Amino acid sequence: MRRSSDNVFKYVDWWTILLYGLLVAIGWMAIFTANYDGPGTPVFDIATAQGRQFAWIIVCIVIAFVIQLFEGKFYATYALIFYALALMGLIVVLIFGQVISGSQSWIEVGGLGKIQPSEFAKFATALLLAKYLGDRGQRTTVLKDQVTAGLFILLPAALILMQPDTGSALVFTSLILVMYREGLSPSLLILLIVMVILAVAALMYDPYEIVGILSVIGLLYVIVTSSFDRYQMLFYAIGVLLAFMILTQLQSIQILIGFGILFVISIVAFFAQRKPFALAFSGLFASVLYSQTVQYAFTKLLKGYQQERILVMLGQIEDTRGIGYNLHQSLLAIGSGGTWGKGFLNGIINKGNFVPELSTDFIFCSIGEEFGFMGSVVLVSLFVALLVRIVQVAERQNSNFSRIYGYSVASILFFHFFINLSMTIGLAPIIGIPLPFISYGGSSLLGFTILIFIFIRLDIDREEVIK
Amino acid sequence: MENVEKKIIIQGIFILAGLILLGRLYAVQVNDPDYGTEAESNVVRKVVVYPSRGLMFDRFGKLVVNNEPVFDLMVVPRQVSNLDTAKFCSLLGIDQEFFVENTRRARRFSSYKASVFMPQIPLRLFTGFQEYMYQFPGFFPQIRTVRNYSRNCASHLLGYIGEVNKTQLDTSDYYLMGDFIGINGIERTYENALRGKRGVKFTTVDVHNREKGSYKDGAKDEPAIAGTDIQISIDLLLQEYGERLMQNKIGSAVAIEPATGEILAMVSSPGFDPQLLSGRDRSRNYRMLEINKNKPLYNRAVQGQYPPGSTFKSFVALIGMQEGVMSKYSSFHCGGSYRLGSRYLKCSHYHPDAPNVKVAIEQSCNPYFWQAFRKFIDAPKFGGPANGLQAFHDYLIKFGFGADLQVDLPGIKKGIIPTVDLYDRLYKAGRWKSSNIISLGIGQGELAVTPLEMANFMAIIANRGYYVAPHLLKYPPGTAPEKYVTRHHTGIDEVHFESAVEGLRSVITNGTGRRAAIEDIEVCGKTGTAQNPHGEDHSVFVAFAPMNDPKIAIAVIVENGGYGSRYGGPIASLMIEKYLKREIRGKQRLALETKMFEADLINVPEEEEEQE
Repeated sequence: MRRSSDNVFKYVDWWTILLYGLLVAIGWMAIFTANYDGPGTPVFDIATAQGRQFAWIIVCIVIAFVIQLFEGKFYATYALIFYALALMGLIVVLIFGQVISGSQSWIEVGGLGKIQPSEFAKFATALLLAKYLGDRGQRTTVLKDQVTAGLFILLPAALILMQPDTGSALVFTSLILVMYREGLSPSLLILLIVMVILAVAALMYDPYEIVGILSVIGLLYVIVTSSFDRYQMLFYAIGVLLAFMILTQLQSIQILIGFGILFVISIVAFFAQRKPFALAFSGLFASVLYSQTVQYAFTKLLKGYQQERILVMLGQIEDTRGIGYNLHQSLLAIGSGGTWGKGFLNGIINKGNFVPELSTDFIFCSIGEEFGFMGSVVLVSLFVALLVRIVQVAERQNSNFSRIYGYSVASILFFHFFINLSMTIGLAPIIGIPLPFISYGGSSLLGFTILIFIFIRLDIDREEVIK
Repeated sequence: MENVEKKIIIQGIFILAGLILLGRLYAVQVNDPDYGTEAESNVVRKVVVYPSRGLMFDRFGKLVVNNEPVFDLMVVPRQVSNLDTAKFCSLLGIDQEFFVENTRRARRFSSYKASVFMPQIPLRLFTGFQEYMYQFPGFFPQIRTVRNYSRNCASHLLGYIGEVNKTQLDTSDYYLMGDFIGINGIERTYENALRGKRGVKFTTVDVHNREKGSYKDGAKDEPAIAGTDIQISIDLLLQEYGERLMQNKIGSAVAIEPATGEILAMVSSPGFDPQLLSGRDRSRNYRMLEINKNKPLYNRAVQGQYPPGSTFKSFVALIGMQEGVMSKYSSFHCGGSYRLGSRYLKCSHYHPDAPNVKVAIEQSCNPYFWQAFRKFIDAPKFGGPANGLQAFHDYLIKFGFGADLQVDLPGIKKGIIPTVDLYDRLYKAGRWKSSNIISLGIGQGELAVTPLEMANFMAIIANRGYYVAPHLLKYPPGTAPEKYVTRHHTGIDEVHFESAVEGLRSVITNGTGRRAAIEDIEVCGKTGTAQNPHGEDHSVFVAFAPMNDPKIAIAVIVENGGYGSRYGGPIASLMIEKYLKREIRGKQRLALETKMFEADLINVPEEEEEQE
């Protein structure tokens, strides 16, 4: 056990701090070049974006030190308080917040400028999740604990969704990785992936095609797993027929009846010990219901611009001037960087005001344009190295609390990093979340800094058992 | 151990995700010829291609509004080098101060991004400058068009265009900063058809400001789509003529084709030159027009509200006959005045008792219509003046007075018409009788209608019972929307219209409208003198012609013009003649025309002082 007389620095994980420092430095340079306006551009002037970001970096360094002044236990003990404060912040912003580009996500704090509470909800939720799951040891296999933990995650996500800031709310789904590490069945993870694929398919393909493909898969499954059984095949065929009939009669009462019949057949098959058949059948039933729900939710719940963004991303709409403009300009900037890039401060597209939201969500454009593919490799490698390192450090913790918190940090950073870069290069819909440490914005930088440096502090106490 | 495996799986996911990103980045940055590296010296310039706005033609195909090119001179401050300022300024006709100020402004905006250095430079000035363009790297032109008008008229109904404002930018997903949008009149109503679609062009430019061709062979370009040309229902000849007749007078003239509801002319006087609100001086000119005391920007044809006066009498006769309180042969005693309690209300002139509706309209007998009106309001079938007035009100709406006429112009006002509520408030419910509201019978009192509504009223009589919503667009046959085809019936039987029409005809042949008679055109009309508490009465005249095959219905109001026969009648009749014969014939008629042209009801010297 570490004694208080020991040199704290001996226990600090310098690798993580080094990677953090490099990313922050790259971020500031990217913001500077994005706002570069010829020789004589002010560097530290607080009126400019680069100047303000520099001031925030200083603030972050100070906060990072302050975080180290408390013992690791402090963060576990007060996890619930942090969480409650974060929820309060999210509620306050819904009532008093400022609306900027359609979302009520900002609170004006006297003198400090605008604060985005959702950035601080992330580390608070991570702390509470770690505390809750940590106290229960490896009991995350228990359904009740899974559900409770899920609720802790969903509560802030739901509040953020009301702002509405879909991107930031989705970040919380990344915590499923933590749950997986702590005992959640991998089949749930797989189910999640299948659901994503099915949702995408539901938007891209005709419902008939989907049901057709699913029926064939189900049929193959029945044939492979059970010896040829006429009655099962017959029943299955009737089921497929029913599924199609439901689709052709898209009126609610028929759907209800159809699904009722499908449901009853699956139940009967299950109790008749016809397992492969029952599985195939209920799988088909669930999939059809699910893809219909996705389509319904897509057209009824999402706003017009959100629908369009998703369709543009899926390649269903070709549009380079309207909704697709952001992505088109972003690809143009990144693509024009080539292998070696145009050189620092020489990017033309990122200075020509072609890319909207350049300093925030699309900051990667200026890196991609000026440093080319080589720059991309360096940046992606730094991020992956940081993520791998955090997991590595998390695994050396003595206490469950610290480990779970570490995994939460990695999951949240991973989601931001992967989705942000994906949306700038057309792999994900543009949901507007920042690139950690790089994007312009004080709340975001500070939020990620706190997230990481609490972990650094916990790691110093890694030999203790923190509860 | 299971947990070690999970750790490796999660780290594996991170690495795999990184590889996916790098794979895609490799495809975009290294492998995709579409996004190749641009040569350092080349600059990709994005130029907005503004669509040319739809033209407007009049009902006979004459050009009314077209476009003329102007040039926004754009600048990218960082690319400016070796500028010969003196030459630059003299070519553009600007002074040093303008140059310094605008350069500073552009620089403040950005050194890298293009911004407008000098907006809307006319073609003739620009051609001189263009020759030397190559000497001024960093500057480039952006073509756009402003409106050009073939005739100095119709400014109120055509409207004007201007740059979009903040609210429009925020609420629309089409408009971008600097776009033009229809702000008033037809330009605004039919904005979506007229505007077309904006395009964009990417060109590569070398260090010498020479265009080296389109960027990626125009793969990223989007062509602009020109706006749709439209045909308006206005007869430009008639419109211009009407405005000349109305010059130096305050008022309005509206002409409608009864069968279709197409507006043939819509004059609001004083008007202004539409060219004033086109091009770079628009804001300055607008402010100048705005402070003019005669309010030239105000469209009196659809916004002015006037008592209809005697022109309203045929309405009273029509609804009386329809409700059976009188017939076409009804006679009411005149004797020069009408006794109401202890008061005597005078008729305008002495004449024998009118034996029927026709003569009553011809003689414009006030006592006749007071009595007819009271009989209507007090008719036993209504059971009380409140219900009587409600019926009266409902007929007004059916005749389009104070109703939503669905005109295709922004800023339309409805007439003010009396409601039961109003009199209940003035006199308390149940405490008023037909005698309190008797002035309504002769078109005075709590009644004020727009010139358009009056013209529409004439169209109803011309059509013997219905109107089609008045509108300014001439649709090709069969393409008009439902609302401009539907016949709005007034609920008055056609037979009753004949006595009204006969009355209106004999106003011209024997009555107060004799000055409005035209040789070989059977004009039907009615004079009106709208009482004006602020000064001289307004001269009102409504008419339609020819009697049995109406082609035009018209209403004219000349503020402070006195009797209806003094200005309203002659102007209406000259406009009818111009429309039907395309010219004015006969010495007497030409003399009348000259007299109308020259009549000046606005104090000229004082007016000029005001304008400065």
